[in-house]
Amino acid sequence: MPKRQRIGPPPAAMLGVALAAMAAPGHAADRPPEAKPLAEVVVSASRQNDVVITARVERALADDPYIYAEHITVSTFNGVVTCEGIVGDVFELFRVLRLCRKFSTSKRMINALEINAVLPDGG
Amino acid sequence: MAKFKPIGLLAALLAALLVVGVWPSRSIAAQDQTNEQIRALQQRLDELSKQIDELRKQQAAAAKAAPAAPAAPAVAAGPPKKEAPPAEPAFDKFMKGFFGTLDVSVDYTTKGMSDEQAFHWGYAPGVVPAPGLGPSAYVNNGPKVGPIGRVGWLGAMSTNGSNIGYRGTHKIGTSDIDFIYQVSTAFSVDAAPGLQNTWTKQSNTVLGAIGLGDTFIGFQKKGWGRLRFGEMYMPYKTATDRLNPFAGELGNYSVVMGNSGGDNRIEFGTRIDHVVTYSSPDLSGFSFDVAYGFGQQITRDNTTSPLGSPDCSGANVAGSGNLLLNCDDGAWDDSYSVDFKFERGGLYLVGAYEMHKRVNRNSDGIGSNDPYYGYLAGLGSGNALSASILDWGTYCTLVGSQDPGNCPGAAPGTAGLGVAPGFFADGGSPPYLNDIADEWAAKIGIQYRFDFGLTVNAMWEEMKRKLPTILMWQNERQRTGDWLALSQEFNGGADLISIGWAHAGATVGDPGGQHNFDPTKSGQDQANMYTISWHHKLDKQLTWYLDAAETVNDGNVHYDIGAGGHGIKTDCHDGTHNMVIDYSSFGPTTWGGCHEIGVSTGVNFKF
Repeated sequence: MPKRQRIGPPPAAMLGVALAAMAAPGHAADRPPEAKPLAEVVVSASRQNDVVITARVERALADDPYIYAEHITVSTFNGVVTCEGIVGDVFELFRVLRLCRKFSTSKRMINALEINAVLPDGG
Repeated sequence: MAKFKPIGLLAALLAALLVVGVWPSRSIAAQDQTNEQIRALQQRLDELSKQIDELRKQQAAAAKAAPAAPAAPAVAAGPPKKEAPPAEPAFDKFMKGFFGTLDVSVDYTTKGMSDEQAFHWGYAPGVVPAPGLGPSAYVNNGPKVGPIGRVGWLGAMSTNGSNIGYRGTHKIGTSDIDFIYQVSTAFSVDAAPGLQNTWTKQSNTVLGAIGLGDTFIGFQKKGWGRLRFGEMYMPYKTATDRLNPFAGELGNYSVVMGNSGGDNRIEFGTRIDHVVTYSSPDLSGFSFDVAYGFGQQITRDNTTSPLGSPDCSGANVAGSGNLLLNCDDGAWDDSYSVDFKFERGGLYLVGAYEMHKRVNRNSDGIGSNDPYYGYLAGLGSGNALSASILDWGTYCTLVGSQDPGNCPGAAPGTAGLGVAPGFFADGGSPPYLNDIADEWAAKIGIQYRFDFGLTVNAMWEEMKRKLPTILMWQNERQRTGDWLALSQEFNGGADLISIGWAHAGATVGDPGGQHNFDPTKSGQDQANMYTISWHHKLDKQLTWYLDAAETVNDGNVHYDIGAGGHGIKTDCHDGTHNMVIDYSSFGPTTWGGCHEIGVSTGVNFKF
C-alpha cells in the first residue's frame, strides 16, 4: 500500500501564500488608483495662430508706407481678422482691407472701419 | 491523495492571513509611489505649459519684429524683439484718442453763367393756365437783368472737411460692455472761426465749436453691436461713403447723390441732431445700421428749430436766404434711416433708405418765377383755387398794408406798389399754404476691388417727395440719380487716379425760384457731373491731390461742384447782395443752367 503523502507545514504555508497572493494581489492590481483630476493643459493651435495673425497684421499695418494705423485695432478669432477704428479716406480703407484679408486664414475678414467723415455744408 | 494535517492547515491559514495582512501595506506603498509619479508628471506638465506660454509670447514678439509676409502665418522665425514701452503709457493712451484731418486747397473755378440770360415768361394768348403745359403754351415777354457780380473764373483758398475729434472706450465695471464716446468739430484752417454765415446762407452753428461733427456717447459689446446717442451722420450717408473717392473735393458725389434740389445742401447726406443709432455686428459678411432722429418740433408744421438745436432741421436758421423767419425752407420733423451691407473679399453690396417726415417747403412759393404760380397769385386771396394753394393769411399778416386788394382788412400802406395782384415791386409774394410732405430716398450700390488696384463703384438712387397732385407741378425733389466711379492705384499705391460721373435725372416739376426760370423746360431738365483726380501719397499721413470737375446743368437745373464737403462752393448763385430778412427778396439769385468748372490742388494731412 503506497504510503500516503503528507503535506507538511512549509508546503501548506506556501500554498496558502499562493492562494492568498492569487486573490489579493490580483484584486489590487486590477483596481487603478483613484484618479486625481489634473490641471487642464490645452494647447490650441487655433488660438496660437490667432495671436500670431494679429501680431502680423499689426506689424504689416505699421510697416505699410501709406497706412496711418494709429486708430486701427486688430483682433483675430479662429483665423478671421477684424479691423476696426478710423481711417482717413477710402484709399486707406481699401489698403487696410486688402492687407487684413491677406493675413486672414479664413475666407473672410470683418471690416469694422469708419472713414473719418467730412462736413457737408449748407447754403 | 495529499492530506492536510491540522498543523499544516493551520500553517497555510496563517500564511494566507499573513499575506493578505501584509499585501495592503504593499499596495499603499505602490499607490504612494504612483502618486509621486503623478505629481512629478503634473509638475512636468506645468513646466511644459509654462514653456508653451513662453513660446507663444516669443512667437508673437517674433512675428511683430519680422517683416510682413503675405503667406498664411506659421511659426515665426527670428529672435523675439521687445518693443520699448512708452515712457508715459497713460499720456500715450490719452493722446492716441485724438484724430482728425487738415485739408487746404487752392481752387480756380467758374460758375459758368456770365453769358446767362433771363426772360419774363407768361402764357400765350388764349391758353388756360395749368400745370404741365407744353412749350407752345408760353411766350417770352422780354429780357430780365443778367447775372450780377463776378460769376466767371475766380481763385480761392478752401478748407475742406478739416476736423479734429477725440474718441475712446471705457469698460463698464467687470462687465464685457464698453461705454463709448466721441466728440469732434470741424474748423477752418484758412479763416477765423465763427458762425457759418455766408452770403448764400445763415447758420447759428459755429465752426470750431465742439460738437460740429459726429459727437455721441453709447455702448458696445462684442457680438451685440453698438448703440449710440448724439449728433451724427445717418446710415444712409455712411453706408456709401466708400463709393466716393472724391470726398471733400470738387466733384464729389454729394453734389448730385442725396442732393434733392441742387444747390449746396445735401438733404440725404447731412448730419442730424438728436439721433440714436444701432449698428449690428458682422453676421457672416452681412451687417446693418438703423437710426432714428428725434424731430423735437413743438409746431405742427415744423416752422421752429427743433428743441435743443441751433438751426432748423436740414440746416440753416429760420429766414436764411431772405425768407420768412420760419423753418419752411426744407425743415423736417422726425427722421429715420437704415442700411444693409454685405462684404466678402473685394465685393461690397449696399442698400440704404432714409425718411424725413413732414418736410416744410412753403417758402418755395415766395418769389417764384413760374407763370403758373403767377397765375395763382394773380387770382387773389378771394379765389378758392388760389386760397387752397397759397398762404394769404401769412402774407397779409406781414405785408397786408401794401396789398389792400388781397388783404382787405388791412389799412392801405404807402410802400410797395403792387405791379400785379399778389406781387409787389419788391418781389413779395405769398408762400405756399401746405407744401409739407414726407421725403424719402433709397439707393443701392456696388463696389468691387480688383487685386490689381482697380476699384469700381456704381450706385443708383431714387428720391421722392410725396406731395398731393395739386402741388406736384412744383416738385423738384423727386428724381433718380446715378453714380459711377473708377479708381486705379499706381506705383504700389503711392498714386491714385480716379474718374467719376454723376447724373441727376429730371424732376417732376420745379418751383421756379431761378431768376432765369424757363417754363418750357420744367420737368425735363437733367444734369451731369464729371470729375477726375490724382492723389499722390507722400507718406502715411500726407497726401497731395489735384482734382478737376465740371457740372453741366440743363436749363433750370442748378447743381454745383462743391456741395457735400468742399469748403468753397462754386454754385449757381450770382453776386446779388442785399441781405435782408423780411418779405423782400434781393438775396443771391439762383441761375439755372449754370456750367461750373473747377480745378483744385491741395494737401490733406491725417492724424
